[in-house]
Amino acid sequence: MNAVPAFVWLIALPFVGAPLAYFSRRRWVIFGIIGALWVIFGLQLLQPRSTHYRVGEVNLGLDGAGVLLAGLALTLGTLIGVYSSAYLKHESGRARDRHDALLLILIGALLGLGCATDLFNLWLWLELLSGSAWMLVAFHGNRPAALEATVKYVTQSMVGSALSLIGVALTLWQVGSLDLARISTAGSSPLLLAAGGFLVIGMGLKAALVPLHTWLPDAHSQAPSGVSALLSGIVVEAALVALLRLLGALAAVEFSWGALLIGCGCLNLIMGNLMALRQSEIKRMLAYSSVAQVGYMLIGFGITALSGDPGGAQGAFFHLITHALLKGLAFLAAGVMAVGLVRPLTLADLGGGAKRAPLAAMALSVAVLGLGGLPPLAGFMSKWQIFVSGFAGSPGWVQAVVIFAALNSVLSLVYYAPVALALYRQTDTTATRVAQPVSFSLPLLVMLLVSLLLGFVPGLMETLTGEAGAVLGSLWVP
Amino acid sequence: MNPILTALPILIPWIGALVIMGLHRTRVIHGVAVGTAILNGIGTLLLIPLSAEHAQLLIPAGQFWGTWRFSPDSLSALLSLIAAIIGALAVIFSVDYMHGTNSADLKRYYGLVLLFIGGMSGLVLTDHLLLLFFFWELVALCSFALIAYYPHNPAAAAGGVKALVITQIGGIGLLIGILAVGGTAGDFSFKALHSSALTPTLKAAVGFGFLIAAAAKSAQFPFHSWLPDAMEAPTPISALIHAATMVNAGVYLMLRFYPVFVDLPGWTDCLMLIGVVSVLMGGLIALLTDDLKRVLAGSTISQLGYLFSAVGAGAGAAAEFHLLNHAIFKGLLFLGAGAVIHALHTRDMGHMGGVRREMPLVFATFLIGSLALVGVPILNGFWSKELILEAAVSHAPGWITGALLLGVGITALYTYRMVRRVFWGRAQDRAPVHEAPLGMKIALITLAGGVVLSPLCLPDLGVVITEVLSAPVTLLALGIILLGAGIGWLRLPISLSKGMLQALDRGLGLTPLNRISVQLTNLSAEGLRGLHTGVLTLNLAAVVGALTLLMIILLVGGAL
Amino acid sequence: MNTPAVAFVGALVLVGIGLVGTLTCRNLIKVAVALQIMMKGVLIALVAAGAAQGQINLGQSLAAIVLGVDTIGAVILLALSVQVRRRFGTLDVSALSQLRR
Repeated sequence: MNAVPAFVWLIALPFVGAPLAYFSRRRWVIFGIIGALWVIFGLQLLQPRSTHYRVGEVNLGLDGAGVLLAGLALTLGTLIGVYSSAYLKHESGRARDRHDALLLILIGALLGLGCATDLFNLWLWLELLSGSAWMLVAFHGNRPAALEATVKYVTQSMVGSALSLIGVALTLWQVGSLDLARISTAGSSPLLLAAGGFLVIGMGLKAALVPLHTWLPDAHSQAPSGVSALLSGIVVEAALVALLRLLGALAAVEFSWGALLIGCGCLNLIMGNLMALRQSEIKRMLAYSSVAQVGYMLIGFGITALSGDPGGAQGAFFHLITHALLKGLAFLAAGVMAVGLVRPLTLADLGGGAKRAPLAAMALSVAVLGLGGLPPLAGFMSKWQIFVSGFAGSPGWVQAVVIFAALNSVLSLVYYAPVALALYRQTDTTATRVAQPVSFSLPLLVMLLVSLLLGFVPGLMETLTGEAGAVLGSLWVP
Repeated sequence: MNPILTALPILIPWIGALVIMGLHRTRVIHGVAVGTAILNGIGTLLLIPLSAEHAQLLIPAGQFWGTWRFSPDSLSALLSLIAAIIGALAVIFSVDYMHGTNSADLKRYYGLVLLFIGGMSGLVLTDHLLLLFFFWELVALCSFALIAYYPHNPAAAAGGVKALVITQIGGIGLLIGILAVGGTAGDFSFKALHSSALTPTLKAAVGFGFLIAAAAKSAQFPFHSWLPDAMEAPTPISALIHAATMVNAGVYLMLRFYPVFVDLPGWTDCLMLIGVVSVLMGGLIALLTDDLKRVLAGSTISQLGYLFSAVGAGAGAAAEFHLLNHAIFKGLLFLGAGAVIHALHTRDMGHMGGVRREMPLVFATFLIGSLALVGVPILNGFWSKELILEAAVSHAPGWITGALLLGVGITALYTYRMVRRVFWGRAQDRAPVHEAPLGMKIALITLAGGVVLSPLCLPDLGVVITEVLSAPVTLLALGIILLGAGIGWLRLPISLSKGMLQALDRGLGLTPLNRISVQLTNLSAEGLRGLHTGVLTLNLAAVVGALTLLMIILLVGGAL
Repeated sequence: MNTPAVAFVGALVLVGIGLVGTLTCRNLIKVAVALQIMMKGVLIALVAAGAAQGQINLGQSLAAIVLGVDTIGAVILLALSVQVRRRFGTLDVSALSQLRR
């Protein structure tokens, strides 16, 4: 054990930093730690991807998918750290310290999840991720609605983790090891098939597969806006990536996981969109739309699992990035719009929004139209990549799924378009411009510009998504 | 000439839109908008020499996009010129029409109009399928935002969303077509459509996908229902987007790719069928409504139907000519209607009447436009419509020609009725009105001049004149026009058959089907919301249910 | 049947009992207890699976970690129950259904 790779420090630092941020009661501590994380991340990028670190039985390694998750987690974490300075201005100092510490733990868990190479580690980091997410959802725990959402989130999530542990135990029984690489060479057996089933349900619960999604709209709409952005933007998707990694290890099992994933994706699409269609609460609508957007990723990953062509996974990873940016942007902008509101933000509250907060209105409308898939916004580009991989040389039913997904994109415009309209049709003539603090406008501006840039130059993310897609694609080569 | 000038029709309006975003005084905003639109009209004229020398603007745009290519030819130069010139006139008209609007709304209005004009030029100039799709959706977005422009009108918001959704559904056809081409040929240029890698099945998918997209964009049957609802937009917008330019994008797509798909079995028949049904449907819509703008919307559907039929019958040149003429006379009619609506503050023809004396100039120009719409000789609509009918006689089945001729009669009927109700008769309990202001007059006179003079643009005018005048179908059509107008003059049969016509409208108009599908979506959305009970126990039951179901699937799937 | 297999089946039964408990109990604390029964079943399953492969050390160490994690979960859930009792005046889970539709 000569040199400890940089990513180990990357995982360790947030957990050292969280108590530090909590007890030092200084806001700059969290930014110092995030800055240090960025430096270490940069150093890690300079090293070859294949570095591994072994502590006893535990083997950690950062591959392309992990890098993508880590980069996204750090980006969103930084922006939300900045955002929360203004968002939590009226909260007590203790509450803010708690928020910061939990934010660090959440980032740390995401970083760790990206480095896990065995089944148990995947479970453990996912559990840690959920744990910090529970506490963050409970941030406004004195409000009954937030309390209710947390209770549901915790209970369902624990049922999920118990079920996935049965899958872990079954795998251990059959293979005698939990290393993903070892599992993938174990061949096919009924026990592993059953294990896969339990793991799909257990981890799928955290990735909000329909009908296991019921906790999501409650939790995501009740959390503080910055936290909602993180939860919708990356926490759910990280669970999805974890699920795919372990399914990749089970690729040898004689069952068409790809078809299952695509089926789940279709279910997510139609359910998420139909549920979002009639919502008047903005954050709840955005939460349901996350359910639908996960559907696109599922379809993309499913295409890869079906054919071994990494293009689908690459598109899905790109969609993960654009969705994290756009949905994060939407939640943050909705949070700006909701400042001073005790009840949930509804569509009617958005009237005259363009006058009150021009930047937030612009951000929210670009975000929703992008999520609705209007070209050349980033959301279209990523869907396009998924569609391309699903169309060329796929069996007929996958092509039909692509058409179905495109139709769902139109369906989603039915609820997205009125949001953009409400902001710019100035029904509220009394609205006047409200000055926004820099810590609101800065994250909004950064995410807005990056998402616009990604729409016009989708090639920017190609190395990142290509590498991540290749990692998952290599597992499925028939 | 430097090919970079090809980008002017796109860039001038977009830069103007950006400049307007930074302005505050309403007079300055009007001024800059008019200046930009006129400058754009002049810049677009450069396309004529550029297209003659086959200029090509190539912009390397990275690995994903490939090369962006803009290459004007006569078709794209024509459409781009229509967008620029009618756009300029609509903007000039808007100075009076939007008088008194606050600066924030005005910025939004002109910004979107200029964005649209640039997008429309881009749509016809590009030679890159993905870029075409981008402009296709951009103009849909502008149209959506402008239909929903009036803040206090919920019908406007609903109409905007409806237009967006229906054109998007059609857009899927285009998307799938581009996916198929790009996926197999690996190239997004128009040449890729001729690639031998496209199997016949794939080519059929592309052809019919494009057809669906075009029908939705051009408000053709069965996607036509968004256009009448789009009439909530400010009237200059209806003239520009929903009569003269955007709705022509579908026809453009068909004209552009006609040589590629002409051999697909059933493709041209489908095109003609859609066109003919739309001719009749649009005519019925125009006949059955009391709303002046909806009459014009129905008439637009009907005239675009002629264009579809013409393309289907292989008469591309006639279709191009009628497209130009229709853009001019329908733009004129919409702007004239806008002047009347602006003065009277109503769109209901029941509350109009007798406007002839108070607004003589508007009346005169509107009458010229109407006569062109009907197809009265020497006005532009006459020549192009006769050319289309002639093509139908020689290339289409007899019943299609018959239906097109019937459409001519219906056109005469509803036009007669519209002109009579708006301009003749007595003023009914309304305040007196005055002639339109200067900006409106300029736009109306220019367009009326265009209605008379546009046939002179034809290079082979002499041939066309002798051809039209010697064709027997011309006389027949003129007879039918007289018959239609005569029925209008007698007034009797409409009131007799109105019930029947309405039934026909409902049955064919897919209005009920439309409503049912919307209601079904809404109902299922509401019903599904009921499933989210919020009770923890039931949520957990769903988890257990999913587990059980998955285990069964695994059992079955694993055993297979 | 050998010992690990018996233990494994017993563990699955325990998980099933816990699962049924979460579905049938209306009291939030009872739900928490049912979750604990599930988790304890899982612990036995992990140890049994390790034992079956002759790697009881691995199984036991996994179980120990899971024990720690699920205790944290239980603590959080019980703390939430206290809050629920305070805000809603009841521990009945069906009272927690404001967030619907």
